[in-house]
This record gives sequence, structure tokens and C-alpha cells, in this order.
Amino acid sequence: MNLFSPYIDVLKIAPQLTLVVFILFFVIGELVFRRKIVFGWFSVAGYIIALIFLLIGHLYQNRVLFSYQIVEDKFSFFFTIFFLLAGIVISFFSFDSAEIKRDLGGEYFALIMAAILGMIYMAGAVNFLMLYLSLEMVSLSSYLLSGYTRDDKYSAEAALKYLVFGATASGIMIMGIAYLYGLTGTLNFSVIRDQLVSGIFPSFTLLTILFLIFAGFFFKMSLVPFHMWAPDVYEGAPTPVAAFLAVASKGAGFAIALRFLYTVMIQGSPLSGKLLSDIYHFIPVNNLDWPLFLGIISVLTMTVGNITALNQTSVKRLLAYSSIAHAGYMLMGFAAMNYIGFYAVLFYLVVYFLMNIGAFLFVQVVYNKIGTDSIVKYRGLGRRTPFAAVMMAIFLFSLAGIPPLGGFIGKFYLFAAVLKSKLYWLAVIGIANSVLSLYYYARIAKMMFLEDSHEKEKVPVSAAHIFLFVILGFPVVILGVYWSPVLEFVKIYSHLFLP
Amino acid sequence: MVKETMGIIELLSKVHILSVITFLPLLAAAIIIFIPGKRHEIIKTVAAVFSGLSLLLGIIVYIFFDGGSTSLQFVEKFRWIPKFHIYYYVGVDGLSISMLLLTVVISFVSVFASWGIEDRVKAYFSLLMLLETAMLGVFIALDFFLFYVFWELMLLPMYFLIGIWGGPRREYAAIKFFLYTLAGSALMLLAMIALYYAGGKTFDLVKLANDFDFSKHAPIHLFGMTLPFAQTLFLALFIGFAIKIPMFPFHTWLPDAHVEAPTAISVILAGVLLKMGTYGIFRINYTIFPHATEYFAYAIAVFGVINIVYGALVAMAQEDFKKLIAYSSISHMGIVLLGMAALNPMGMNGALLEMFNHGTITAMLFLSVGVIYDRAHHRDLYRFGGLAKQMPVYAAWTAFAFFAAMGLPGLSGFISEALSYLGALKVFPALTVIGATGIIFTAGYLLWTIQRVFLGPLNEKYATLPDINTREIFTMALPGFFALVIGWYPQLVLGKVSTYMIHLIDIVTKGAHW
Repeated sequence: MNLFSPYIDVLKIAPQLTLVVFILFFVIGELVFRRKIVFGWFSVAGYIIALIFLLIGHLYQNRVLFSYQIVEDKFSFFFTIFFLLAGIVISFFSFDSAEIKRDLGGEYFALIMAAILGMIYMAGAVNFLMLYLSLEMVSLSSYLLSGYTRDDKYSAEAALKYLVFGATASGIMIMGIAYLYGLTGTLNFSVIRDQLVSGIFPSFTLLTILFLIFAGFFFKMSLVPFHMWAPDVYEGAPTPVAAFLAVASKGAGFAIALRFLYTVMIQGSPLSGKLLSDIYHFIPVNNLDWPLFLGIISVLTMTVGNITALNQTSVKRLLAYSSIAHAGYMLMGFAAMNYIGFYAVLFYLVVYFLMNIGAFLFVQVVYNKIGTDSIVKYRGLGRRTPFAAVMMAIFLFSLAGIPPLGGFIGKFYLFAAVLKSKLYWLAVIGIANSVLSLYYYARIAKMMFLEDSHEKEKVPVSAAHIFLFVILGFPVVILGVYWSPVLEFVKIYSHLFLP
Repeated sequence: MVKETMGIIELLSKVHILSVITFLPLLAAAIIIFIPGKRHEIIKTVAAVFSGLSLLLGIIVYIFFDGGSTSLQFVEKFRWIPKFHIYYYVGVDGLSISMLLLTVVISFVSVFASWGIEDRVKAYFSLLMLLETAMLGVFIALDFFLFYVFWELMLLPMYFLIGIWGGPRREYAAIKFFLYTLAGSALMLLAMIALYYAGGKTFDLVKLANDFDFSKHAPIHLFGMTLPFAQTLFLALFIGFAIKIPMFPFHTWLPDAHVEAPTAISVILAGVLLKMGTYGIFRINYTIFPHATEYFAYAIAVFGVINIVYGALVAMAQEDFKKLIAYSSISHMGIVLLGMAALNPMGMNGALLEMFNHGTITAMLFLSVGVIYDRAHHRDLYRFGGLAKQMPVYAAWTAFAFFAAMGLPGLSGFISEALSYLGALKVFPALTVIGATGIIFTAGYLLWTIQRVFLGPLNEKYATLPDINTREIFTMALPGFFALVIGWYPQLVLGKVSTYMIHLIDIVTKGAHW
């Protein structure tokens, strides 16, 4: 019974503890060190040490910790790596960001790390209490991060908006959780699941509860109708924070949604270990047509994201809407309700991580020099900073899903999942959206390469940023040509465990 | 002698000759990236050498290709993404061998046609080389996924080549081309994945064609409609290809793209890219959906005739020299559509030969427009006149190209147009008669253009224009060689392709295997 032991083996949560130690160190360290770069390197070191502990601890598999609060399985392992790598990349990202002040490094990196700690717990939560607490931990850190540049009124506005929207969404969600608790008398996923399977609850009540809980998930995933916060927050927040929210925070939202739907809601018992049956079914709730429901949310999200992105004048806002659209694409994998759909979402998250952070990085490079992200100011950047601009073009066309770039392969698997389940309508609307999206991505490329400006001054790219461009850009190209290893990886790690 | 030939073929297969031809230009692109941007001559030489090598090897493969066989030759097959049954699978048969030859010839010509590029030379030639690899890849790919990747790989270089080095409205033309083609290939992507699942999880075009009869597959439910599987997928693929041809009503991107594109890119666009549309229909639609092909044959013929007549009439109304040639391309691609819809040996061979001939002839036409545009800096047909006196050599070459395009006996256009029309006449007599009026219109606008540009009194403004130079003659002579030789000896192409094309008819009508 060691597996279910409630006593904590400290080594089991060594990665998380490492992050806690570093967060505490940052708080104290700020009394000693006054330079951002020091904390940046320390946080990189922290993430790497956590990664090492994670890889060592990975020898044990499928464990439940803290009396059924958290599970450690392949799925949570995947996301823990995802978040830790996001932490490393965002740290390098912030090194040479003009928006992150030099003398406030400690609290900035501590907040990022606290958010990542919360995300790691989100990915493993199998209890609604844990889920809610970790989600709030991420949210609170994110509110502070988006308002980080205090003297900038847009940043302050972003933080306030984010706070109001976020508090509302999590308020709605906790109401759903409370109802669910009232109904089942427990917050534990596996007990709730057992009771749901027995089908003794009034189905309409259950439907209401589900929608209330989804409000919290959708907010984190920025799905319609809970997407409104994203553009304002991304635009106002410092660029590294925007990239962080668009990738890591969204990834955490997908992690909890996937775990909840595929452990609590799934019919049959494909849970412990394998998820290989051809088509999945979720537990019937008031005759809700799950693929239709998820498909409609997906279509609405991608269409709203893409159409609104068409006319944006700020690149950051454009990327915000584009990231909403990408959440919509990824939801297609949910709607397909099959094994390919499941790992296609994970695959897409990997590619999305690379190309979206890459695109924000270019925004940062340009912002450092010209102090704006207005799309018309991107004129002629192809000549002013050729290397970074070519990388940006790769990220943009990958986001648009043009082969032979990683984004295409990601979309290919999502569409394969949808067509395997014969959801032709979803595939047709999805592909139409994909074509539409090319217009606004190509608009940025057009500004950079096809138009000239009288400004001839070079835009410098710092060493840290060149390093990031290389480690983000090359995989995007390579994944478009040879993606077997990553495909194998996401297939292995798309296994959930529920005790 | 036979034994020696076999030995050479074996050797060519062993060195993966098709991959070598295809990826040599990509290697050139990689090399060009590392050459300092100021060394224009070196960059251009590298591009010329590598596309020249591709040309040379392409001709060798063409010579040793066995035209009497219907089987795939020089086949290479490797696992690429085994977990999803994706293969790197290439090879040539009678259909693709002619297109392979056309592509290496036109690409080589376009490198020399680009010699005058002075702005961002490095980027231009690396994109041009990337484009050549993508085009060659499309014609040799036998795995649908591979085909799709090459097909889409053309978009980015083409977008930038038109968008950066094009004319005044280049941005509009480039994005229009990009969006149109992407919309078409998006449909193709869905059809490809649907076929993958319907056909027992394979992208192998040969397997899909031989092992499955999709006409009996369960129908598709879409937005409350119930659609027959084979016909729906046929249409999805067909529209994707029709945009590239471009078939009326999907043609509007072509005039814009041509007018704005630099000369060499127009040459590639009209010479090779348009052929990919009809090639795709032959390669994929005809072999995988034989029943649907017969079902839609009449519709294809109708659209072919619309293309011929509409293209020719609109061409007649043009004032812009280049736009006129662009619309003449639409008209000529209509002949291909008409011939391929006939589904008889004459029509099919005519269609494929017309694809080849149009590729070479239209290349000459665009080159000739490029020559005059480089000198006069405009293309307004009404502002020229009497140039035959000032530029006699140029006038002769242009007239040669025009006569070939017109289908003058003795030049290649005549053979393929006659074959296409005669083939179609047996099946669609009324339609073919309407379509044949296109010949008259074509003669009309081409002769009228000669009159406007070369005859009459010389415009004094152009009394100092230099005549066509050696490089320009060279670029026109290479496609011109094919236009002349095929006019007298059509077996040069037909000898390699006709066995396969007749076999393709059996695939469509008699259910034969690829």
C-alpha cells in the first residue's frame, strides 16, 4: 500500500520543492542583489535543477500524493516538462527585455516561478480543492505579472481587467464545485467519477454544474465566450509575460481540461494506462452531444479569433487573437474524441510553444529598439534585422500552418483526428479558418519584407535572444520535416492515471 | 546494347537519380545562403550550375526512361514517418517524365532570365532554387503526403518572389496568389486525410488507386447533406487543382500574379506551375476515382471550352502585353482540359503534349514580353509600333513564339492542339466546335498584337532601343528548340508518354491497375 501512502516522501516532490526554495531565495536575495540578470540566471538554474529531479523521480510511475490530492503520471510528467521549459525560455526572454526593469528582478522571476509551480500542480490535480488552489496560485501570480510595469497605464489596466475577469470566472467555477460537492459529498475525482457512472444524479443539475466548472477551464484556455480578457491583457502586459500567459498559462488550462474530461467524464474504463480505443464516449449528461458541443465551442473560438485578428493594428493584439484561434484549433482534438485527438493536442502544444513564444520574442526585439508594436512600424524590418525577421517569418507561416513547418504537422494531426471521427463539418470550418488566418500572418511578413521604410537603422538582437531564436526556430523547421520522435513522445505521454 | 542500357538504368536507380535531380537545387539554395551577399556573379553562377546539373541529369533520365512500359521507373521508397504510414516514395512514369523534363528546362531558362536581378540577389536565387526543388518534387512524388508537402512548399518562395521583386501592385498580387492556392490546397488536405482513413491508412497513391474502389464507400454527411464519397472527394481535389490550372471561375489570381511577377517568375508560373493543376488531376483524380472521372468528364469538357473561348476573348481586349499572354495561358489550358476529358488516346495524348508545349511556348512569350519591358519600361500595346525595323532579331523570335502559340503547322502547338481537338470531337462534337472557335480568336489577338507592336510606323521614342542580346536569345532558344522539334518530331515526347496515357484510359474506363 506504499503507493497510496499519505506520508510525504520529500524526494517525490523534489522538483516542486526546488522551485519553492528558489522562490524563497528570490524574496530574500532581493535584499542583497540589485541586478535582474543575477535573478535571471538563478531562475534558469532553478528550473534546470527541478528538471533534473523530475527526470530522476520519473523512474517511479503513477503515484498518488498527499491523500489523493495530486497524481503523478505520464500526462503530468509531460506538462511538468512543458512548464519548466517554458520557465527557462521565458527567463532568457526577459534577460534583455526593456520592459522588465533592471532593479526589480527578484520579484519578477519569483512570480513567474510561483505561477509555474501552480501550473505543475494544476497538471497533476485529481481533487477539486487542489485544482482550485493551484489555479488560483497561477491566476494571482499572473495578475501581478501583467501589471508588472506599474508606471505604464496599459499594464495597470491589463492587470485590473485580468483580475476582474479571472475572479468572476473562478467564482463561477467554485460555485460549480460547491454544487458538485453538495451532490456527491466529495471533491475527489475518482469518487466523483464512480458516482457519475452510476448515473443517480438529476441530469439537468449535472449539466449546470458542468457548465459552471467549464467557465473556469474556458477562461484559462481563452475559449469563447471567456476569451475577452486575452487581447487587452496581452497588449498591456510586458511582452515576456504575454508570451508566458499565451503559452504556459493556456497549456495549464488545457492540462486540467484534458484530465477532467478524460478521467472523470469518460465512459468505460480506458483510464489506467491505455487510452487506445477508437472512439471515446463521455458520460451522458442530459443528452448533451459532446462532439457537437465541443465542436461548436471550437468553431466559435477559432472564427472569433481569426476574424478579429484580421484588422488589428498592434502586433501583440494580433498575436492575442491568433492565440485564441489556436485554442480553437486545439479544441478540435477534444471534439474528435479519439486517441489521435488526444495526442494531437499535446503535439500541437509542443509546436505552439515554439512558434508562439518565438513570435512574441520578435515583438520584444522590435519593441526594445523602436518602443512600439504597431504593425505599420514593422515596415522594412526585413532589411533592418534580417536574421530575426526571417525567424519571425518562419514562426508566422508555421502559425498559419504552411508546410514544411511544424505548425502544419500539428494541424495535420488535429484534422486527422477530426476526420477519423467523421466530423466533416468541423474539418471544413477548421480548414477555412486556417486559410483565413494566413491573411493576417502574411500581413506582418508583407510589412517586413515586401515594403520598405526610410528608417535604415539596424535593429540589434542580443545574444540571449539569438540563442532563443535558434532553439525555438530550428525545431519549428525540423518538426515540419521529421517529427517522429516528438510524435512518439506525445503518444507515450498521453496516458492518464486515476487511482 | 540492350544490356548496356539496362546497366545504366540500374546505375541511375542506384544513385537515387530522381532525388539527386530534385534536391540539387535545394543544395544550391543552401550554398547561396553562405555566399556573401555582394558577390552577385558567384551567386548567379552557383544557381546556373546547379540547375544546369539538374537539367543534364533530367535529360539523361528522360533518355533512359523506357517509354514502352507502363510501370513506374527509377523508384525510390523509404519510410519517413512509419507510425503514420508516410513514405518518401518517388518515381516516374509516362505522365511525370515529360513534366520532369519540362521543369528542369524551364527552371534552367528562368535562372538566365533572372540574370538582370540586382536587388537582394542572394534571397532571390535561394528562393528560386527552393522553388525548383518544390516543383520537381511535386512531379516525382508518389506518396500523397509527400506530394502535398512539395505542393505547398512552392507557395512561400512564390509569394516572396512575386511580392518582393514584382511590379507596382506586387503585394496585392502575391497575397491573392497565396490565398487562392492555399484555399485550394486546404480542400486537398481534407480530401487527403479522408482518403487515408477510407483507404485503410495509406498515403501511397499507387495503393489507393489499385486496392480500393471508393465509389462504394459510405457517403459523407456534411451540414445535413448526404454526399457520395467518391464524387465529393473528386470535387474537393479537383477544385484544388482547378485553382492552379487556373480553370474558370477560379482564374482571377492569374492575370494579377503574371502582371506583377518578374519575367523569370512569370515564365515558371505559366511554364510549370499551371501544369501542376492538370498533372494533379491526371495523377490523383483519374487513377483514384475512375468512376467519378467518367461521371464528371462532360463537366470538365464544358469548363475546358469556357476556358478556351473566355480566355481568348478576354485576351483580345487587353492593352497590357503581359496580361494578354496571361489570358492566352488560360485559353490554352482550356485545350488541355478539353483533351483530357475526352478519355480517348488522341485526346489524352494531346492534352499531355499540350501541357508540355504550352510550357515551352508560353515561356518564350513571357520572355519576349520581358525583353521589351526591360527596354521600354512599359507594356502598353498601343504605345509601341514599328519595332520590327528597330529590333529585327527580337521581332523574329517573338513572331516565332507567336506562331507556335497560334498552332501554326510545323510548330509544336499545332500537333497538340490538333490531337486534343480531334480527340474531343469524337466524344463532345458540339462542345469541340464551340471550343475550336478559340483557334480563330487566338490567331486574331496574336496577329493583332504583332501588328500593334512590330508593324506600322516606328514610335520615335523607341528609335534607340537596342536589339535582343545574346543572353536573351539563349533563354528563348532553349524552349524554342522544343517548339520547333516537336512540331516535326512529336515522338520526342509522345514516344515516352503515349503508352502510359493509353494505359491511364484503361485505368479510368476499364478498371485496370496502375
